[in-house]
Order: sequence, then C-alpha cells, then structure tokens
Amino acid sequence: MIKIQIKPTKQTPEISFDFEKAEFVIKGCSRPEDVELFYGPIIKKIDEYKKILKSNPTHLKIDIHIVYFNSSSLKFLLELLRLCVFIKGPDSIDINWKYDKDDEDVMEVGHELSEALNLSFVFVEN
Amino acid sequence: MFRNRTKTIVSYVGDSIEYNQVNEILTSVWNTLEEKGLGISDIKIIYSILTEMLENAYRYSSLVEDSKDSLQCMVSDLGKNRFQIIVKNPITVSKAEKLKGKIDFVNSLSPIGLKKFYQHEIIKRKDDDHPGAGLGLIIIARKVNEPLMIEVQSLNNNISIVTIKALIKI
Repeated sequence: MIKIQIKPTKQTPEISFDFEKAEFVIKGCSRPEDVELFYGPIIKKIDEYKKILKSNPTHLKIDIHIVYFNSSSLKFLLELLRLCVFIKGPDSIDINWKYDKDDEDVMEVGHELSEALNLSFVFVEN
Repeated sequence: MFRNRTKTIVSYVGDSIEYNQVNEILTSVWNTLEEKGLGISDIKIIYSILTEMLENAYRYSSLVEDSKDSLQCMVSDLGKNRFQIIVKNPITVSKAEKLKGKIDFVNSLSPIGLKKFYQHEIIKRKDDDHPGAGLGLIIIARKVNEPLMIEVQSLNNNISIVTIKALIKI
C-alpha cells in the first residue's frame, strides 16, 4: 500500500493520499509555521509515485475540505494540484471542493483555484 | 456626550514573537469574535487578515536584538461592526520600502483590479524567497473596506519599524 497519511493539527490539515486507489484527501486548517517543510515532502512524494498514478486507469479523485488556508499554503496547494494535473492529465482528475455552509470565502477560493488551473471543480456544501 | 465604543480584543507588546504566541493570539481573537456572536464568514475575514499580518511580523521578529517593544499587535472592536488591526514590526530598510510600494499599489486598485492582480499572483510559480510573498497583502487588501495604512519609521541604517493598520467593516 503506497500512502501518505498525516494527522491533522490545529495548524496543519489532514493529508490522506492513497496512490493505488487514486484517492487524495486534504482536510482542515493550513497555516504551518514552515509551509515548505510541511508541503515540500508531500509534493516530492507525489512526484516519486507519479508512475503509479499515471498507470492507474481510474480517475484521480481529490477531496479538498478547507477550513482555513493562509496565502503561503494556497501557493503550495496550487503547486500540488498542478503536479497532479500534469501527471494524470486534466480529463482524468475529479476535484471535489467541500466547504462549510455559509463559508463564502472558502467557496470563492475554490472558484479562483479552479480558474487558475483551468479545471472544473465540483462544489459541495457541507 | 461622546462615548468611546472601542474595545480591545487582543493587545501584544514584545521584543519579538514566537510562533506559539502567534497561535495564542489567533485563537484568542477567534474565540472572542465567536463569543460576540459573529458568523463564521465574518470571523474568518478578521482571522485571515490578522494571520497574514502576524505571520509577516513573525518572520521578521528576530531582526532586532536590542530594541524593546519593537513588535506590537492590537485588535480592537470599534463598535458598529467595525474592527481594527494594527501590527507594528521591525523589517529591513529595503524590504520596508518594497512593502510600502506594494501597499501603495494595492491601495490604488479597484476591487476588479485587485481580483485580477490576485489571479495573476496566484498562478505565478512559488518563488524561492518566500512562497506567499505579495499574495498575503492582496488577500488583506481584498478584505478591508478602507485603504491599508502603512507608516515607516527608521530605527537605524538597516532596520525600519513598519506599522500597518487595517480597518474592517463586516
């Protein structure tokens, strides 16, 4: 089983990436003290396991449920998603952007990232 | 007769700031705003502005060794759904000039111009210096209702003290 599992803290999100199932989950708050230290190794691992992702015929499903992301985390999230798009191709990725009811800010961030990536997201209100 | 409606939510004064203190301030502000009955969207507007301002101050907090109280943060409830955040911190002279230039620039943009600038910055590849540099300022500028205020005071040939004030109406 090739996975990345990181438990959430008050400052960092839950990361649950299953490369064989092609299912990624990012959930919670993200404002790590050192954003590079947190996201750098995750991005490196995705790059390391890109062959598994690429050879998997199923779509890569990415569930993102942000509570709060600071500006530095946003840059890394975009970098991570860009890498996934590069590996799988834009037609083989399904991004579910989840947000809490009445949280217009997070919903708007999702729309802006979707525009930046030129990729459709499915928006899910929780 | 005039009554001062301003209530301090958080006040921090120190020579520097540790990351756990940043966390404590943010948690305290979140809890206070929740107790005041603010909705999640409104709390997050104030929280995200304060986060960007405090994280910026934290990055530069080790610059000044012999200056007392060079780092200050104050979050106030001005009444009538208006809030004020003031963060004062040391920064190198060259970065202070750049910061002032960036603030003047974002202040000159309309909401549509700010959105375009945000989209431009977000698609830019992260740089090696600091991954969120510039983006945080745009995020703040998009959430405040009045132009961001910046004051730069020279401390010595290398270090300036910058004070940034953000006014938020929710």
